[in-house]
Amino acid sequence: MNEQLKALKSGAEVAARVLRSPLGMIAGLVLAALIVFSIVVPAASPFDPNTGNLLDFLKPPSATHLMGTDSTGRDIMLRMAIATRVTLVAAVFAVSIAAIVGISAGLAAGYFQTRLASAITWVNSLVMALPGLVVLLAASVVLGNSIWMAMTVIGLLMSPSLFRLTYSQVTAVRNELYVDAAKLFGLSDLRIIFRHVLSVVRGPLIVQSGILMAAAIAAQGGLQFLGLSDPLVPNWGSMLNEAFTKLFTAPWLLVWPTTAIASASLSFVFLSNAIRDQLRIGSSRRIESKPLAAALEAGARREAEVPAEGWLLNVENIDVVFSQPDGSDEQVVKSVSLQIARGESLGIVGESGSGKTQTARAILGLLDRGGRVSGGTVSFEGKQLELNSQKALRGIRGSRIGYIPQEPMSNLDPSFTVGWQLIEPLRRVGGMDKRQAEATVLELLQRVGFSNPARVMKLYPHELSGGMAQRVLIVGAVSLRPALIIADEPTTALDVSVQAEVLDLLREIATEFGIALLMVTHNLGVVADIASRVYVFQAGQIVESGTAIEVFKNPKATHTQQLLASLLDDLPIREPFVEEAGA
Amino acid sequence: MLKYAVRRLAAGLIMTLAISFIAFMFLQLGAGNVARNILGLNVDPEAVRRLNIELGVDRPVLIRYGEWLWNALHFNLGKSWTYPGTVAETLWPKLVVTLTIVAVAMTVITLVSTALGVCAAIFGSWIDKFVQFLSIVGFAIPGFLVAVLLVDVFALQLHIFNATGYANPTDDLGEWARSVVLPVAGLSVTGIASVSQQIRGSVIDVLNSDYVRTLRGRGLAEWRILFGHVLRNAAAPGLAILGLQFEGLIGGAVIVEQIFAIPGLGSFAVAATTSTDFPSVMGFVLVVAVVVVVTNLIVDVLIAILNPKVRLQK
Repeated sequence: MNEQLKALKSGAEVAARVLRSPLGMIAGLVLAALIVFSIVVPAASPFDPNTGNLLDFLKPPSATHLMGTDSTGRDIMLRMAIATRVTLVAAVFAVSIAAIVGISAGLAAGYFQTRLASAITWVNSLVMALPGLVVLLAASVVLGNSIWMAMTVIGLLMSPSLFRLTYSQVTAVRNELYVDAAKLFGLSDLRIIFRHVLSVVRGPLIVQSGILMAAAIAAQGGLQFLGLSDPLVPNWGSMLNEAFTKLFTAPWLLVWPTTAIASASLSFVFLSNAIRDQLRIGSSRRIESKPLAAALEAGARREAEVPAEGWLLNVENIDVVFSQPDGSDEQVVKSVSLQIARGESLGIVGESGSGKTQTARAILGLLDRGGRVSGGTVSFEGKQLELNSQKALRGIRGSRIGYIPQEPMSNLDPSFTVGWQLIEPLRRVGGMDKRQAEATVLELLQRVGFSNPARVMKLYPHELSGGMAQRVLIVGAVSLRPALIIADEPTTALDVSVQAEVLDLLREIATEFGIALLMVTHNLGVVADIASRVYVFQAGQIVESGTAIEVFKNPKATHTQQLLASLLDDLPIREPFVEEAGA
Repeated sequence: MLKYAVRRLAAGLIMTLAISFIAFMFLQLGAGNVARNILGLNVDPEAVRRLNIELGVDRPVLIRYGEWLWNALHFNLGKSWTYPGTVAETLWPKLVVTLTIVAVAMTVITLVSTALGVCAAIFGSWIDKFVQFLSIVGFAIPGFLVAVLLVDVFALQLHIFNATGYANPTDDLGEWARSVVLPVAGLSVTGIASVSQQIRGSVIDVLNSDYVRTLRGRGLAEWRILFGHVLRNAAAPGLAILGLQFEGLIGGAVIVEQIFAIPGLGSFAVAATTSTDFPSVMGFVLVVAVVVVVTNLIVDVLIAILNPKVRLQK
């Protein structure tokens, strides 16, 4: 969330937008009304807040006393107004203390990262360990009932939340290169901290401050309600206490402090929510994609012949969109068509964000939240798939189409053993009994190269290396003998030395079991190794297709040529497309 | 695992010690005027001096802390300056009352906020928006205000529950239940609001994780993924949040007990504070620190058990 708040463009612009949102506007108006009330009434009132007419006690609202009088005949409206002023000023004071202490401790601990940092973090966890009210009670024994003392303590108690916010941001920024670069240019530490870090944490801090304002109001109200406050200063908490003890005789007394406390707390929380929402919209919460270019320079579309038994998978003109927080849709895949025959190996190449992964996920209905297929059709084994029905797609997932993900370590459930994760689908989806499933998994683990499969089954994901985990995921994808495996960059996250082994294994297994392979990758070397035909993606569309040899020998689209050129930058030069691709 | 638990226990003990030391030193800062507070402003200085000696506040502070600690280790928290009898005798029954109410509130918070948070995370759309709105409102309104309003509506106007007072569950279970409904409700609202938000967040995090996508890719039914994998993995962050909540409830109980006239730690703490009864305040601080440290320890161990990385550590 914090990264999303980074882009705090112009404060005035955000403020204007916050006040235009319905809840933000109401919250702003309520707070403005409270402030006006607290300033105007004391100036205009003919009464004294601390002396009342004892004959006029507990009178309901009237023309002279618009909010009535309390048990000693004092004017409630005047006392409410003074209490409002005191409460708001005290809350601002407490939040300022929290901000000064929390932010400077966070900056110091995060930037200097020495013993000082661990000491500050320890003190911080000590403060957080004690319930705040207990500390306040103990403090009031020694420091007395002054509201400023109480607010100082409340501020200190609230500082850990701002400390953590600042600390985590500073640590993140510190590890980024530009701080090192700035140091290199001789900027002083202090200037680095202020320029870079504060601009990053400003947004989240403003949001957090609103919540802390509400917390400070609640904390002082609670203390005052318990009777731990200066009796000469009117305040919401003790007025609420009085109203509570007079519930039978003067029920209207409850209305004023209740309304005041509730409306002030709610307004601050809603205001900070509105600010957070506005900051979020203006910033980079876009989903992994670049805007689709209107017209791409298309290369050759060399279509393959339809095999006699028909395509295994036939994707026709599918569109994929993601709904954005502001309600609009963003298209990430535009009118993509591709086909794969039984037992064939196919490559989809393109840079990251070109829509290739989204296309692969769309076929299986595995798009992330907010994503959906908005047009086009996919048929598999001659039947059309209902692309937006999870229930219908579940029938083919695993059993007919296997899926191998990109990042092996994060794709295994950390809480379960390898054996459990592999056996579960065989029993639940494949309908095997426990013994059958175990035997199948053992055999497949051996097949992918584990010399002691029984031991591997007992391991947890964190005990595996990346290469081992990817082999386990390959077993998971082939264990139900699907007709097609969709592999999404299966080697990208692996060590270079392991990449080739895993790739060979994938090819062998696909051939051995007669499984068609749809390989998504940004690495043309992988495609050249494994795929017979290739589709080249750019900005959500296919710009070129054909057999691997055709595409590599004679790339038509500029984008394909660029991809080939970038391949040549970091790999030994290979025949035969050196001269042609060098453009 | 055992090593981990022992390390956490040691850290907890150090934490308790540090809290008690800081609290003791802090309270002694104001020690000069204790006798005056007790005797009033216009008394013979000689009487003040005698009382200071009687209370022991004239001796070096470190020695007194050492004595206090030694006694505390023998479950003797000293003699109260205001109550008859020792602090421990007075404190114990009150602690039981508070922990009973806090435990009931904790159960309510756990059940309700898990249900709300999980539903909001899974169903999304308007259910999510509704739960979020309720959470913001519940979070913003202070618990004591909710408690006051509950008394007004349910006890005084509708006459459904007892307005104030507390019955012992061992004496009359039904009466006890009637006496705790409103305090528990008052205590739980804020907790439910914040915990359900956090549970929603951790369930969404797991739902968006790579391995859940892969499990879906294997064709497993959605309910099986939810109950078998998502909730299991969201449980650890959920537990951490509930632990923090428990600590907050002890503070919240102080106020809510005052409102409902419940003879728990709250009334004890407020009385001890207003009468500057140091041994009682120290006893209160120590008891709360121990409860917090024990809660943290239990939560840490439970989380460790859920996490194979820690569980399998030798």
